Amino acid sequence: MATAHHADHPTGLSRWLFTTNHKDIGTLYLIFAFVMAIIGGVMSLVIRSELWQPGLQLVDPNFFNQMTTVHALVMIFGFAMPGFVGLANWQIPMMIGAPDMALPRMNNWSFWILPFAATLMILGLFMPGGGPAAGWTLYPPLSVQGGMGTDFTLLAIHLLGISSILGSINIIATILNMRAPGMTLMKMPMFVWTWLITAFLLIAVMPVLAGAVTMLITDRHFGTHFFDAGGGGDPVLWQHVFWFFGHPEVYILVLPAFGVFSQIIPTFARKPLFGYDSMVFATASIAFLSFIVWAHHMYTVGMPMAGELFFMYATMLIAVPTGVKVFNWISTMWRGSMTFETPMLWAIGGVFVFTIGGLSGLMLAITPVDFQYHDTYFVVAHFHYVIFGASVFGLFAAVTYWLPKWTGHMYNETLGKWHFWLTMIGFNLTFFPQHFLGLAGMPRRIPDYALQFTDFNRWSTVGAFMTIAAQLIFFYLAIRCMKGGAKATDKVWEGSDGLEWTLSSPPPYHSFVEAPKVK
Amino acid sequence: MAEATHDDKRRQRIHLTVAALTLLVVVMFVSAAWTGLA
Repeated sequence: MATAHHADHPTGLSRWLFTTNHKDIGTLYLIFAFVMAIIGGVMSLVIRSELWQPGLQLVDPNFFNQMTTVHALVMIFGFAMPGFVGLANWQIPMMIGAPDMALPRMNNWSFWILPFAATLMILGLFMPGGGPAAGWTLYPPLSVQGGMGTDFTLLAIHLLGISSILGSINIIATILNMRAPGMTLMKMPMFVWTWLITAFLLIAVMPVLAGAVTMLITDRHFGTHFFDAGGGGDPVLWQHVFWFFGHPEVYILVLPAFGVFSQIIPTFARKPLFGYDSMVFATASIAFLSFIVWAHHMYTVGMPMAGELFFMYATMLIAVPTGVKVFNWISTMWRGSMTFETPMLWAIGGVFVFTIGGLSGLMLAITPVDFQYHDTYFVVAHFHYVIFGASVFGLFAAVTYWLPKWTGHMYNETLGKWHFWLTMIGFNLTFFPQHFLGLAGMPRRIPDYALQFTDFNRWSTVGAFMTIAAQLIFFYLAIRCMKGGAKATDKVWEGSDGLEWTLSSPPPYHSFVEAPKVK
Repeated sequence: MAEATHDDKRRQRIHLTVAALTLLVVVMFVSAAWTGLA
């Protein structure tokens, strides 16, 4: 009787508008992220189509710059971050043995800010003068000079930031106060640990971005000159404050994916995670170091030698805890009884792709060498290997891993493998040649290029279309799995371990009405 | 009764966590703005 009462919930539109249920809100976040990925993906195809050959053919240069700017903002703030918050909503209460998030009403609000913010950002493209064209880093003076579309974007960033801060407060309050009896911090699943640390990062840096954006708005409309050299301000100040947010932001996008890999690899290697404690401390170390490396993004502004040396060595230091994590994942697989279902393919693929991005990151960290690479396609290749490798691979790994638990049905393994391999090949085809383009001197954010760059650009464009087309398979896979298919068991995977697998598949509307005991 | 006390304590802890984190948000926002004002 009590169970029936707890399972009661509104139906239809009001269920989704007014829901305070962590699973419903998680689903909303994930659907929103997928829609934004399609929008951002189409923008990337505009960019790649224009770069199919030298010269200007499809769009004017100003619109091209708007595409590179809004593509990045949509993918970072609209796709990757909400995607992982969706996973956090679905999984954290189930993994720590809680009935729901600590602040369910605020959870609803955190989500429903997003569609309005995203609409504002997209609408900016249709304003007089178009959307922001200064790049996602919004460097002044370009961002001070932009039209009304820039204001739409700045307001959208404020709203997205508020949503992230509210979501993070909720996640921390949930993890610190709602754990089942017996689940000490050092017994928490790695996904929960990585999200706890990510939420602290978000709370520390999103207000910094909000401060910078507020100063930019007052420069644009209220006569201040924070970033205007003509009025006694300093455009480099923006770069410092922005990157104090921007570098930890990279880890905000990457750390939850590390948590996902740390859940999946032990499951399919059928061994416990190697070096759990060192994984926790490595994650915390990466988060700490992310605060003291920001100026490696701006070596070329002209810094004192001591500053360049500090930021170079601090950046290289991040390779140590990151190396610990990669070592632990490999050691977990070592002599395991491994099988390669789709989530495992995404996890191993993600570690592989991210590691390539990490190595090119080490190259970029070297100050004198960075003067050669700065603002070239080498940087574009590097950060796509890092962010696509961790965030996109991590999200697909997580969704295929937990989809049977969420829906109660197994997805089609053949389709899952096709989706993985086509994305893997398409992604590498898109971004590996961009290393060579950058090393040869092709600058980023330009719609035209010298003739000798044509071949690599063509490979890149073919790869981009292949990658986006492959996502249609995922769309079909997910819809098919939601509608039916082979019944999933409660444990789903032979090697899975953790509280979420003790619930039925699909789990009840309110998970853990009575707290489980953790030994 | 004992359960209610437990829930109250948990509620207090949640409020305390939210208050501390909100303070952190304000401090970080003001710090960022201070770099422009200093």
